Amino acid sequence: MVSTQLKPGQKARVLSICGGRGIEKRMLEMGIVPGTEITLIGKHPFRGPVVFQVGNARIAVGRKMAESLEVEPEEAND
Amino acid sequence: MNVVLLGLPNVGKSAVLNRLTGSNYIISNYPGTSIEILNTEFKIGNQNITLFDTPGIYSLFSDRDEAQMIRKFLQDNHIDLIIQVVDAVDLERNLVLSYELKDLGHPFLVLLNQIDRVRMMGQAIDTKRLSRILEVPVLPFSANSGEGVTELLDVLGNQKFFCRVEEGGEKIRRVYLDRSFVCSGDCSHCLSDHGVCPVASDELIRTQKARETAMAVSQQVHPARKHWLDKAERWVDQPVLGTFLLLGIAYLGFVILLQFINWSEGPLTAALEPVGQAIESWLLAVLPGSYVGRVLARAIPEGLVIPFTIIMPAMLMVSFLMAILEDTGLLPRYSVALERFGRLFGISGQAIIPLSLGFGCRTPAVLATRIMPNEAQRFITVTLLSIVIPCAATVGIMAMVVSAFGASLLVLVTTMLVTMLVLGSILSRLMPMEHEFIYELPPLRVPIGSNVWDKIKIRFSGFFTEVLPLLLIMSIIIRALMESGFFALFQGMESFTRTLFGIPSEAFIAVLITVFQRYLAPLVLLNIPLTPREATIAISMIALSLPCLPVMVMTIRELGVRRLVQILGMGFATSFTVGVLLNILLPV
Repeated sequence: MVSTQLKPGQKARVLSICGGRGIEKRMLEMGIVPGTEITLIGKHPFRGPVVFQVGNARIAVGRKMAESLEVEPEEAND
Repeated sequence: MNVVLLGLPNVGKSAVLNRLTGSNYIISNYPGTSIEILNTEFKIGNQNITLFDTPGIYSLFSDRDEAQMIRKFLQDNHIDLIIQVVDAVDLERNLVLSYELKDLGHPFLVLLNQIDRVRMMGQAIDTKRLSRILEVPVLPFSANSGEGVTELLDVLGNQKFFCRVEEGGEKIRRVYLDRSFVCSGDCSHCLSDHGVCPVASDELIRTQKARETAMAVSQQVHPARKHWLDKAERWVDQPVLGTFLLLGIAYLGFVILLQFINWSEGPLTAALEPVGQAIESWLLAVLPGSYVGRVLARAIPEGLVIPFTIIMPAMLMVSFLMAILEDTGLLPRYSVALERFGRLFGISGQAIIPLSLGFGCRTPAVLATRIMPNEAQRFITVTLLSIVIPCAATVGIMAMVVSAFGASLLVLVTTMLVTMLVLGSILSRLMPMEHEFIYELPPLRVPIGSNVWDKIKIRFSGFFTEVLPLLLIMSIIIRALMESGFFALFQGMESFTRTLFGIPSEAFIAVLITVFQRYLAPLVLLNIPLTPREATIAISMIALSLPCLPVMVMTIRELGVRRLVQILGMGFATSFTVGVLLNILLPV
């Protein structure tokens, strides 16, 4: 599923980034690559940015860019 | 010995530099604070060390300007050691850069900064193991508490970092950062078939290695101690609630600013009035009856009282508020919360940072536009900054004119907002761009008093070196022109300026004077009898005009003369259009 479909607090693993080399590269620089575990912190309304937790860092990603992140949600333990 | 500090944005490179050398470089809590390579000399024992502080980069092979600059710097200079400042809290992402350095074969050591925060989070990092994996020295460090400083100085003083490099005999390493490198021939890459390494394809491998290494060396030893700031962060980073919180803080800031100006004006005027009168009567006594005496006797007190009572409090308070926003880590959160809003103006969220810095002083704000993702965005941001955003000094001047003539603050503010909206959307139509927004949010922190104080001092020093002398000189020139009857020559323009802008010719001259320095114009305005309507139009035209001289110089440096000419053209056009439109729209 697309990363923006995650619910706040939900964890997921990045499967692929499909937004062209430029977007891929900028994601990579921020530490988002296939296999990275991300947690959605919040989605700003009106198609605003999406905030993810990546490791111990918080990263805000524009909605369009976030939509290029294909993720696999992790099963909740509880 | 040349030593370079390198690391991701906002890991504390400047703080490390300050700790080691006792310098006072500005540190802030948002990525992109340092945008130039700065060097400081210092001595350990008899070892002379030049320490270079570089802007933060996520990757040496990034296409971004900072990375290109650093690549060129590393190629063109002889570097003895790179100190990679690592945010120990965020090890995995930082280690990618470590692996890049390792692949490039530069002698480097890893400084695990903010190690105290790692402990607070209940984690432990096995530095010995990390050192073995990376094959470089790893030192736990805290720029805040000073932990690790002695160890680092010891390593630097005794050049301990060279041992490892010399183990396999003498090695001559030359680094080519154009995605290939040549070394002495015994690194993992050169031992493979091809001498030139296709670094680009290695990116994923490095990321993978960084993840594995981070997992191998870090461990949760006891549960994280909950800090109240973590809780605050959870509130502030909530999309809707957080946005309202941030807007509330901004509103509070404005109220504090206006209250402070109001509150300080009385005592300051009371204190300065006798001084002004003393200077006036002294000058009249020394130069009795002469033209020069008449001019100076009025101009000098005016040129002193106005900056001290109006501009000084505004500059002080704005510098203070901006320092707080920067150091807490709130500033970047505005760019996220206001990203949608910014798009209305044709700018991306990142522009909020330089634009709000502009409320302090626009000159460093032009520099800060380097955080924008591309040239087009930078140009739009600098244009809005130059034409629309009022700096601290301008805010003071506007407040003064508004209160002196009973001009309409509502009209002024609305005009500025509308102008920003129109100008931004025209520009973004003209130069269409990709809106790619990705930005790291720093952790919330309690500002350090001394750091805030340093920032206020640096920003405020412009008051004495620039604002005060310029205002004094211009005050004398303007008074001289008035006394000489020079302005009367422009009375022929009266019908022209009245029909077009609804203001007298003298007020129009005040507008033209803004070419030199926006905050000078009111000096003229205060000497002309204006109705509230005229004052509103005149101050709106002044508020939306040209950048001041330092900003022009900075714009040439950053974007080139052609861009500056375009901005100046737009500035004139905006100012005149605003005047004409307000003259049509405002009821007489």
